[in-house]
Amino acid sequence: MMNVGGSFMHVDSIIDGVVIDHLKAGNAMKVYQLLSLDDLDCPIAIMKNVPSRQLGVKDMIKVNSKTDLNLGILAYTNPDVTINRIQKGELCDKFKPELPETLTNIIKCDNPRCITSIEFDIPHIFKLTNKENGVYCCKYCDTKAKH
Amino acid sequence: MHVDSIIDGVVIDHLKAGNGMKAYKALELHKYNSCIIVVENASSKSMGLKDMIKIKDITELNYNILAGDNPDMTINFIQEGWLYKKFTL
Repeated sequence: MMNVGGSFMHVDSIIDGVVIDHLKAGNAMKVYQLLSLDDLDCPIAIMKNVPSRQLGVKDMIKVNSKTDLNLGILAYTNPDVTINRIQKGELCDKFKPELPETLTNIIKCDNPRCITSIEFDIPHIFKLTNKENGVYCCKYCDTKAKH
Repeated sequence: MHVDSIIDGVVIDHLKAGNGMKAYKALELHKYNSCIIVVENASSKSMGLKDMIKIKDITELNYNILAGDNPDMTINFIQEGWLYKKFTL
């Protein structure tokens, strides 16, 4: 149970699914859209501005579904994120996501001469070139992505 | 999924399933810094599935814009842990 400025606000634990924790406050809606959670018809709880010991305030998302979500992209957009996998009501896995090999349609190439800046229906694909520093380069023109 | 009651604030209940996010945008809740919980596709006795929004500390919002899409919507004002006013639009 968490204390919300003197009052208690507590969401029941889920049975099978994922809890996306330690999102920076205000980022929950972006993550919601990024993971296209609006397409799912399972119970979802989005908590905004919840007090946290680590971050002060944080956002959190609970998804009660066994569907595989593309959680790798969160490692790029929200590096602090913690993912808890819940199975049959018990925590079975807690991890920080690893950077994915490719990012598709998440960031756009800044290079004005890149083919993706001219042709509109090309997917914006970036490849991970430096795992330690998390550097992504455009698949088409090798321009570094700005973080 | 069940969410504990709030102490001060408002609960927008019985939104049609899938309308939670639309309501969030319509009420422009992203502008506020208070604790907000959006629950989607929660099971409900009267509706099967419903969405609901709990907002802490803010009560003055333009609820009328939600009435068109969500005819069954209930708005509960909560003060000091007690239901203070409940109405439909």
